[in-house]
Amino acid sequence: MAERAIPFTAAATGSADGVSMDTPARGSIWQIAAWPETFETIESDLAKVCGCAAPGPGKALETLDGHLLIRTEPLKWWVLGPDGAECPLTPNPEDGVWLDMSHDQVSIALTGPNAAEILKRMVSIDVRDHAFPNLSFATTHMHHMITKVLRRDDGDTPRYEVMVMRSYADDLREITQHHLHHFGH
Amino acid sequence: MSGYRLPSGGYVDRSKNVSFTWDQTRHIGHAGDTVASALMAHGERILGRSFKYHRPRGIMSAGVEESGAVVSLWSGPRRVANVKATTAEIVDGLEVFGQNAWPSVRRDFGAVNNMLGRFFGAGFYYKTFFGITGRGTWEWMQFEKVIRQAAGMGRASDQPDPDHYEIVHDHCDVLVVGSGPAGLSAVEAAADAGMDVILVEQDFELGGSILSGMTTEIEGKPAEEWRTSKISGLDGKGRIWTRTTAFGLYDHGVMGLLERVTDHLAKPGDLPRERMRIVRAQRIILATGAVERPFAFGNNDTPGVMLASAAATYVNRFAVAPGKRVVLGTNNDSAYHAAMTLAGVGIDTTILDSRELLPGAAAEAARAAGIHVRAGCVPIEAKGGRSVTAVEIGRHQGDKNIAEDRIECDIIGISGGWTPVMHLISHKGIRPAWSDDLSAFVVTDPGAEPVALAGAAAGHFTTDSAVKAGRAAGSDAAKAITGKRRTKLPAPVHGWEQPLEPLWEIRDPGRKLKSFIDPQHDVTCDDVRLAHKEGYVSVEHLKRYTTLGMATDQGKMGNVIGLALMAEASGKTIPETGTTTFRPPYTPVSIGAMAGDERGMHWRPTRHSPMREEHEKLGCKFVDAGFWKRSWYYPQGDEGLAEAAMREAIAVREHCGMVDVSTLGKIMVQGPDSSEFLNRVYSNAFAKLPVGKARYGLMLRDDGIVFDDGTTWRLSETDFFMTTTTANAGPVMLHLATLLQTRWPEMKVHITSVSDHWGGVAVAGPKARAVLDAVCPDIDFSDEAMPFMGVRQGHMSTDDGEIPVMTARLSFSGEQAWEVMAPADYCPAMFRALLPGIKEAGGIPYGLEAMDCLRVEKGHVTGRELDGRTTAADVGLGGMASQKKYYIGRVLAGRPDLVRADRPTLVGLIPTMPDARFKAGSILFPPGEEEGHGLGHVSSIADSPAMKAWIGLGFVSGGLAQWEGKTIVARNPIDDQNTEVKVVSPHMFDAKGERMHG
Repeated sequence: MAERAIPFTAAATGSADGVSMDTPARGSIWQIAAWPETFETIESDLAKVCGCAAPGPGKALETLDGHLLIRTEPLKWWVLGPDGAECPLTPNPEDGVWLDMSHDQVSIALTGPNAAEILKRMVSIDVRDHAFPNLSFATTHMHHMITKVLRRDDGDTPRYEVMVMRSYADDLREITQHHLHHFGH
Repeated sequence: MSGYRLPSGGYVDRSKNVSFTWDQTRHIGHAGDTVASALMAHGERILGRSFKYHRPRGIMSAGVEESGAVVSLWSGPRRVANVKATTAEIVDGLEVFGQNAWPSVRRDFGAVNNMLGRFFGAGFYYKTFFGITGRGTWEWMQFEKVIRQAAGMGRASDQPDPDHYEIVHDHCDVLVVGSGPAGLSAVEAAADAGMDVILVEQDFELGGSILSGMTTEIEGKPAEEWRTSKISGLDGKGRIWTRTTAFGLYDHGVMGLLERVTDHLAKPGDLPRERMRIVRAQRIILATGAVERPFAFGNNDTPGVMLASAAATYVNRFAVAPGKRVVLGTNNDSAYHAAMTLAGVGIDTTILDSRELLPGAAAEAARAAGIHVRAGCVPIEAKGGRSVTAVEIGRHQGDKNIAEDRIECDIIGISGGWTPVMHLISHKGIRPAWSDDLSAFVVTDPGAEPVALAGAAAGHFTTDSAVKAGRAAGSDAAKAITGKRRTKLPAPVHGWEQPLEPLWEIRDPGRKLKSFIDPQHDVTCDDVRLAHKEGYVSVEHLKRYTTLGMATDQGKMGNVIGLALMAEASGKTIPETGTTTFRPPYTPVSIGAMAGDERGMHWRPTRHSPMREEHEKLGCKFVDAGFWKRSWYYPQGDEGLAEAAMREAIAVREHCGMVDVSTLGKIMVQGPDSSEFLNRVYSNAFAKLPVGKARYGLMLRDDGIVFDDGTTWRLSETDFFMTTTTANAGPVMLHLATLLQTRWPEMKVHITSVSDHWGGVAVAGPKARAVLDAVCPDIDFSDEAMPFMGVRQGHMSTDDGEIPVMTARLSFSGEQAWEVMAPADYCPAMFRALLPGIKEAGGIPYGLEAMDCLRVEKGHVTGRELDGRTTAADVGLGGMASQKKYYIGRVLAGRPDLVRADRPTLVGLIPTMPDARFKAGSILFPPGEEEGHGLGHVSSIADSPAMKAWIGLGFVSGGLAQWEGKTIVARNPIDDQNTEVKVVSPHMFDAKGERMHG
């Protein structure tokens, strides 16, 4: 298989006082969706194959094999894994559907004690620790772009992954770098 | 010379001198000074000119309600106009300019208007300049240009703003606005209850009225000690933002804040000039205080006339005496505090109290302090042309106030009562109630809003009462959030010894006084009466006719007086007359702050194809299509758009080409009910589309008008891959989601946008198959294996390795063509894999311009034809509207107007003269009848290499049935150009589709 192209046209890195920016490796995103009447079945099956309890709305959990299982919508989950990872659950269409979205999103990560301060300049969600603790997930918007935010701390250090549709990659990079440049002056 | 710096006292830092210029003359102030206090300390009296009469204006207040000292700051691109000198901090290097005057506010030629003032009453311009020649609006528009030169306030810079601004989102449990005694108490109570609090203060110092010296003791402590202890007690308990104005209250506890970040810094560095904060709070406490209001008397706009509390503020906070002899006119007890402050620094002070019954203790204390107190007296007219030199006073006898004495003075302080600042709660549509006690509007019930008012904003006019109210509001906010039992907030206490006497205007029946109620806009008491005489009975109409309250202070000082005079003229009470509605913003917000970072290249987002860099390597020019940058054309040498597009179109027809179609909307439709869902969404049948086949679909809106078109590929029994037009990707997704959530929730269908997961190219032309055969070994592109509309999934060999692709045999160009989709990260590899084969076949990549030419030749429609007004039949696709099934739009598509025989329908257009051209948008007429709305219009044009002519698509009433083969006229009324065109079938090239089906 060919190597995946990097969506950014320039290095998506940067840092400011108490925050740094990097790009998570391009990986796999599998979407698994249930029907209202099969929700519990799919939830239970996911818990089995992932080795963890299925997360509630707006939450994420690490699976046994180090993937991340996220409840993205009332009837939908995403499984984030390394590039090439297989979909962990391929239900019968009567129970649910699955979809490869590995190339759909692009993400940058903000890490550090001031990461939330940068984030507050980009999205409108409540990122205070008690409202958006580690392994929280939210869909919001940034500058007219649908944006997803995943908090995935690096040990005790806050870390937020900000995802937008791939075609907006350079906007995401430029906007984040702009905020980093001006932050802390 | 009037004002001067006192030798001691105040909150200014005398150890820090600050150098600034006033109309290019250097002045020195102290850190902690405002422009107004620093200029007052230098004895400057005229700081502005009024809007209409150009009368001189001085400092009237010490806050945002200022209506006289309105100035411009800085020069060049950073210039800001209409800044209140009373709120602007001085900073080293600050440039301050007078405005609306020439050559300066001290000597202004525009003051000639004042001599003609008797002719310039309310409505003067409208009454005069509509009627001189009898040509109404035209006439006004000519005069307006001249009038605009003479009127207006400061001028904004016309250069690009060099500063940057930012928008920040914040959340908290309790947001407290205002840091006076009530605000500090409220935030402390909420913080002590464990709430996450934010305190905002528009001033650069916390303390509100405490800074003005109107309160000497709070809870048994000296007021200043109380203030500092409360501030230090908040350390680490919440966020405290000074220089931050709460300018608007919106739904669900959303408050707009404007933080002035660098205007007070000599070296702002790279910080944003202003920061807009959008705060989402669970509870909000408005401790916004009250503003003192004046009453009207003769020449009450003369520099030296100011609010009584403002005079005290300059003494107590800035250590500046506004003058040497002050006369305070009042109708309430609060002016006695101001008088005591002024007398305390040696200013000769006189109180004129309109009431016969004086507040005993306060009056006694005043007399003991050497203050002259005169009961039942009012100021009648200020004397002095350019600044106050004296005041004529008289006995207060209702409408008959006869001047009987004159006092030499340089300052006249006025206190006509206090108006609670309730603008923010008013933004939510909450109506205030009239309080006779306060002679003011007060909000007593914020309704269901998560908002409480505290302190003077709620009508508490004693400090003790304000503190208690603030504390109760803070505590109650915490209870509301934590679900505890709520407590009733304390009732307002005004605490005056003697009741306030309503007083709006001082009249002397013996002479005509020029008494202003909106000094900035030159609105006088007579203007209000004139408006009433002329039939303006609504206060909203009064406002617009006289411009009362429309100046930069937005009526903070004068609105209530205007209402009172209107009420008197109409014989009604003030509450019967009405209130004006306050709207955001409370104080002006710069456009820069509203735009934030969304400027320059980021004024809107930009979307790029995953193959962007491959296009750039080939010198591609891009064109904006919504947010997208689409590949437009690939010039060679000095080629322009037309030449390049022509070359590209020819290459596709003769050899092959490749165009980026990644911008198409792409939606996965999944689930057991997907085929039925699509069958209901599209006007043509989808229920029996086989796996491995694609179908062109036409989607209607509910009203029967065409919404969108595209192809849908059936990948499995339950999975469909839908493409939409680039422009309608979002709206179609929204449409489908709405249908599933509201009309057919029982359907087992999930839709997911995969527009960015997949990128794609269309490979088109007689040699396209060979190009694809060479790189996709596991896909058979033959007619037999993959007929028209066939769909296959397989792989493509690239230099980087194998990549998965899916392809459908579709054509928008009219040639044999395949759309090839690959996961986006593999698209650059796909492009590089296809390019050599295309070049070898004599082909090239082509852009949007050539693609448009190819589709016009074929009569294929795009957004120019599907423009939100056309039906399926209008665009020649009536056959796709099934008569056998239900689908969205079917019923209303049968409306009589949509099936009219004379509706304009799609036709092809070719000029009768070989080299003639016409433009899109031209109106089509029968020959010799080139007037009116015509037969229809031209929607698309192209310079067609295949037809060797300029061609077009358009809509003609009666369509081909009536006009085929006939000549009509395409008229461009803008260029006054007529072109004769022949009406032909829209399928102008290869009408039978032989090339496409190959």
